[in-house]
Amino acid sequence: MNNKNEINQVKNSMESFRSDFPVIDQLINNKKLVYLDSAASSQMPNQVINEVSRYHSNDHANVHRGIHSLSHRATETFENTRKNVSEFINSKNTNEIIFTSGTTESINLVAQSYCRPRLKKNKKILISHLEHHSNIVPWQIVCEQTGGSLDVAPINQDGEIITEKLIDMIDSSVVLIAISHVSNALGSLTEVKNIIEAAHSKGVPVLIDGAQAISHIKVDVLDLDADFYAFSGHKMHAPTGIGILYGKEELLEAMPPYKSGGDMISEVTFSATTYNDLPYKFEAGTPNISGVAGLGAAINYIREIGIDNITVHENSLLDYMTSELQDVDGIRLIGTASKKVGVQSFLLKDIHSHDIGTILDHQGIAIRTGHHCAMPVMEFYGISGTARASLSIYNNHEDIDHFIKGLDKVITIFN
Amino acid sequence: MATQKKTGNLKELYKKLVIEHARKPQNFGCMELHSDSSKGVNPLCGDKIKIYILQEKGHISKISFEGVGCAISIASASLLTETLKNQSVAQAKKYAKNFIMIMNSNHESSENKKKFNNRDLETLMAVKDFPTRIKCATLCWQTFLSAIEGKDIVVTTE
Repeated sequence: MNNKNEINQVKNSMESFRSDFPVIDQLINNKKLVYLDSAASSQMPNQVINEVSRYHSNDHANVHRGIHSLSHRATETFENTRKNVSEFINSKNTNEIIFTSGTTESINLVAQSYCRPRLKKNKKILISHLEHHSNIVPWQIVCEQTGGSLDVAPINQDGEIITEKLIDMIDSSVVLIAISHVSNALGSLTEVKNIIEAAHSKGVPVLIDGAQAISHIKVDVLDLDADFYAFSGHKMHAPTGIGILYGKEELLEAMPPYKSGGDMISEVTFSATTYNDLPYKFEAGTPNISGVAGLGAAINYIREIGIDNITVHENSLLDYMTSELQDVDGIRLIGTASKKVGVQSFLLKDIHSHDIGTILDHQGIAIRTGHHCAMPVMEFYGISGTARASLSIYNNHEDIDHFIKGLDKVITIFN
Repeated sequence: MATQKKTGNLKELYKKLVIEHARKPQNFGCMELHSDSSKGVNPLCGDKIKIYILQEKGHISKISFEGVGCAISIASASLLTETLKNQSVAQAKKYAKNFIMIMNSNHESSENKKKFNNRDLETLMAVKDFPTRIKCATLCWQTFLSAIEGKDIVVTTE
């Protein structure tokens, strides 16, 4: 899809989707909002907002518990979305889709339920230098609990995991490899398929943190042969507080429950409890049902546009943004991987990223500043933080032009 | 269309004096000979500061700081050292508590400038109109209080 006409066609059709996002249509400090912080949280289209509202107005009840009509309808919405997620990421079975509160909980679930029983002294978890804190700290905690250790695969100056080096680090002492599909701080796309293939040849399972990939590129867990794949609703135009853990059925079956309570049991007596089947074994307590309803609508929305169209649109915007940024006086781009997804981090002269953020916000431009919950990445570059602009469906060339113009004002104020 | 009332004035926030202090902070650096010191961090943004104080006869005879941070936090720390140097310890504490209180008070507007009784410090009042940046301005003052009160803790803004 590199043909210019095709890109233009996508560009024109994407423009019509922008109006689906009511939050984008507002003034900040009397300037049109330019939202370039979708990597932190993406905005919701009317289709999602309306579905959440419809659910609350018509169907709300607890799931899997009542025999009355509302409970049935709520359960139907809930389970239909599970099916929808399964189709969206191409999992073999619907019961491989576990609803969690977000990517962070999904990773914690795997750390405690899969790794904790397997880790011990001389066993390790292998991650990369590129990871978000949520793909570092849960592993550190389980290592502390078990005496296991954490190994970190290196990255290069462009901000890419050095795939060969990571593969060289895989041996029988590795219990699990946990790496991001796309770096949240830099946007680098990891060669997950190659890594998974190499890991499997040595009998090691792989968890992919897909939070930054799921709404931007096609994710096919069967094709990737991922063992676990974690992602969040709010980074794919659904509400906050809902996330997914995909896991291969045979792995999930063998794992003990991660949290306990209602809905995860089949029989409880004071002497013993029998756990429920997948996926309910991992879903104790009343779940975020409205979040699931919104997630279903978000998936339908992405499917309607077509994930490939989204990728083309965002790649073309990223190319434009990167080339415009390169022309800004005193800029240093951080994260220059050859394959990237919708994110550009940068430094501007000696100006602290928070000052850049405030001056841009004053012009209606929302970016993220600081360490992006990826302090080891910052430490790698010897910096305390970056300014980061990230893209989504609703962004356009005009947004980028405003953003670049906004940077001129930052420079003017500090000169 | 949702709208929002206009917030603080950027020119007030980044006044020449603030930029100058951020670019060339006063009393910057480690002070080997000191009677008190304390560290402060803002875990959300990664700003770090360390304040060194030399107390002599109930007065602050020397004070310095080192660290990394945005223009507001560096300028605030630089102004802190200029303001508190040669003050009595009691007076310095009063300054710091007053600064933090005014910065965090919802009822004080940036127009109410007389409270500091210090023209240079008053340039930081504009920060009040940028609520997300108040912590940048107050971190060093909290760290100063921690140092002078001999608390062996790392101050955080969270």
